Amino acid sequence: MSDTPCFHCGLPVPKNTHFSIDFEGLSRPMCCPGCEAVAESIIENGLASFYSKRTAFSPQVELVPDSLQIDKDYDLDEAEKLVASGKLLENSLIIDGITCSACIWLLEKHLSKQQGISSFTINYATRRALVRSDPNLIKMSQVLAAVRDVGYQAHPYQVGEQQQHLQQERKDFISRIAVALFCGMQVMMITIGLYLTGAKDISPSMLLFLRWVSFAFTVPVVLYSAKSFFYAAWRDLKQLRPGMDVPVSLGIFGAFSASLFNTISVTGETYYESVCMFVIFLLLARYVEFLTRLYAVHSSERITQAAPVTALKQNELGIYEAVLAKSLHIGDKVQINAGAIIPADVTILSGVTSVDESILTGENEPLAKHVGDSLLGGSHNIDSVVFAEVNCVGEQSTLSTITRLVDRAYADKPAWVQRADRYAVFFVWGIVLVTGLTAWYGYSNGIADWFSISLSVLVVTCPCALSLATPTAYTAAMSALFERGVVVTKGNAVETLALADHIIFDKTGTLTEGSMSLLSCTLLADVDEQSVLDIAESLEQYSDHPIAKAFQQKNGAVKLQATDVNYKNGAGLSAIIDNQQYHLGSIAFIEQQLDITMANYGGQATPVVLATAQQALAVFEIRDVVRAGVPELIKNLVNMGKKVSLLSGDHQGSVKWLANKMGIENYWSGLTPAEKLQKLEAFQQLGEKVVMVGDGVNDAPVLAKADVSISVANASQLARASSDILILADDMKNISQTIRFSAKTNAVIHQNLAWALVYNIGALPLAIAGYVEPWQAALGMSVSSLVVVLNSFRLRFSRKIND
Amino acid sequence: MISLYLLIPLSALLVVLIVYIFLWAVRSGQFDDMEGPAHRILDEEEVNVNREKEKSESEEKG
Repeated sequence: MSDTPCFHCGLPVPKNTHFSIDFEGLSRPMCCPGCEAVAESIIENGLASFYSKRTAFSPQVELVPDSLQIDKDYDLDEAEKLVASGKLLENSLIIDGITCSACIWLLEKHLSKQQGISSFTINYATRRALVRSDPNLIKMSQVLAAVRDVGYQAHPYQVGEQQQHLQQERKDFISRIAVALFCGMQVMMITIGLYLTGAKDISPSMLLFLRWVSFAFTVPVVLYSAKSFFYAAWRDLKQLRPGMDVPVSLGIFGAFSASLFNTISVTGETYYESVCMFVIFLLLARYVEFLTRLYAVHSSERITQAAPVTALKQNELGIYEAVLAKSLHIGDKVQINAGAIIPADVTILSGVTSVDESILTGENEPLAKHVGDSLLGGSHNIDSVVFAEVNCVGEQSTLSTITRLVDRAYADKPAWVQRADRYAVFFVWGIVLVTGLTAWYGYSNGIADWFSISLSVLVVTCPCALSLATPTAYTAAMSALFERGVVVTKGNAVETLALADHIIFDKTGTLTEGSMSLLSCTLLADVDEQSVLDIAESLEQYSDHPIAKAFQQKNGAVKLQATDVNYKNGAGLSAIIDNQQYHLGSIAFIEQQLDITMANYGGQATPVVLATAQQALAVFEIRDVVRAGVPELIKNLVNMGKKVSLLSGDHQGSVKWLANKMGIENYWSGLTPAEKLQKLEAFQQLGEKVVMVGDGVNDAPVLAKADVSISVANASQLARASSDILILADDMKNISQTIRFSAKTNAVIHQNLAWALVYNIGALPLAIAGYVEPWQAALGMSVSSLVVVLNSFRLRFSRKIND
Repeated sequence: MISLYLLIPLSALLVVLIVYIFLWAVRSGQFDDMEGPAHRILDEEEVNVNREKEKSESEEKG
């Protein structure tokens, strides 16, 4: 294996390949024709400065055969939309493969140059493009092709109703916070002036004027900014389940009307500034909570993109050909391969298989499916090929999939929110009761300040800091992790991760990169090396196993034609070439096929044996590259006192070699996915909190069963969908950092809760005793909330966790 | 002290103006992409021309 990186994607350039491109007078090596074509097109279009701007390598590019023309169907949709909107067409695109800001520059530049596109802008945060184009000059398929020219994948995308709704809500929040802030600022300014001089030093007419000004500024805060609290409180009261909004509304309304009364009657105190402060801080708290929800929807939307683009449909001649999944109609017959995502809701016509519907139902057991059973679009066909008839398509099935997924994300996440809500009911009744008692006692005993005292009690006991303690810490942690390339899809994953004591890794694709390369070829019979390589290549082209890729020779087409291919999942395959039976697979597989015993090969590599029906011909040693950061990761985990295990379906030799090299004590090899699951359950029964790190389709059930599941960079879509945490960056050290970070997050949550409780419990008696003025109560409430928020934001800004 | 009777209403006017501008900014999507402009300022002219073009178009429409 050569270590020269590809100029475009940074992957190592395989030996014996000669792809290259001239850039700035030098010949740059390229790893594959895909990257070469893209780099050529970038330079030809005068966008070569992309290569000096970028800060990360681009994704590797696969050449898509022109014959497939997947995008043509989008043009039809376009025509429909055209009727609806006027002259220029507006479309949203999801763009895959953006790695740094130079990618966005490149795309915007290249696409804006296309004739007919009036603008093409990409949102940095969401990685979505908005394209305005003239349909008479450029078709959607041409737009998509232009994106592909420079090495990215684009999919037209309908802005979901929920997404739009959330965007609207976000704008609402910002507007309400802004109004409250700007108006509140004025009221505070006036009030501080009054505090400093004391009301007695001011002429009565000026005092009255200032009060009316304060009133004028408080009106929009109460009527506009605090509107949502009143609505929520009213809804809660109607259902007889008072939440936090009831005392909040009581406080705001009570303080405001008392202030107004006193302003009109020119007596007593006013509490306008307390009202404003209260609303501002509550809104900020709610906004933070809303952001957590927004993250959840974003990450669940990412999952829905796992829906397949193509399907194998039977045409008039009875041959199955690749078509666009969304072009399927009810009654179409489709072929669904093992390992494929089911393209639409279908009924099985022939074949028996099992499917994983966990992405839709959260049910992780694979379900057996027979003829006549229906399969859900978006679920995963695990076992074998089935032929099926489509019975539900388009909006109906896709939309239901999306809704179910998003619902799952919603239903799943806020376990702590529910917990908090349950306690809140008692808390709220307590607050109202205490306030009522204070007011009654004060009033009946003729205490002059009875109203301001009970107002202080109401404000001081408001469990603001308490309700902020957890969500702010989570949001801060999530966004800090996001910046490090770690996406948390389930809120409480962070909490559980900190408590984990056993980390289990998958091997291929997780600890290693899953890109195999041929290390050596040992001949066992009188044959020449090139001919065994050719035979192996022609056999392996029928396999999807990662090992198969190692046999692809870069110099053109497969030379030999194999027939009667018999594929044994995970072990090997047999086929006939030139009337000669060949077997290719693991040592165990060959030993079983030929009924012989072989010497043990494979120190650090996986041995693959090629044999005829009579004798073994050659042993290939296939090696997998260990991912970046793995040795440090294992060392860190062991230092933290975590138990580390390796569960692999691979050959014992290579598993043992890797485990020894990385210092992993517990390892199991040759496990099926079901056995992996059993192992994991056994650990859990011992009372261990288990973290599973995986990448592949076969890891999905194990990932879903683990207490916390982490999927690594380049994991399969299904694995991603079943995991709580996605590591996007290709650096495994992120895992140990995330674990350390989660411990820190938990510590912050505990600090927050402790502080909030101490504050609330400590301030209550003081307020009842009349030592706390309403403005002091509002200030205390705000400061205690601020302490919580700032404490949480330590997580956001702490950079040192990385070491 | 008398000046306050003028200055405070003036500041009130200013606040109304600020709030109005801010709400306009929120509604016209100025806060939709908080990251992009920081990078785009480093781009060359043409993209900006493109954005101007788009802006004037949307203004014409709206």
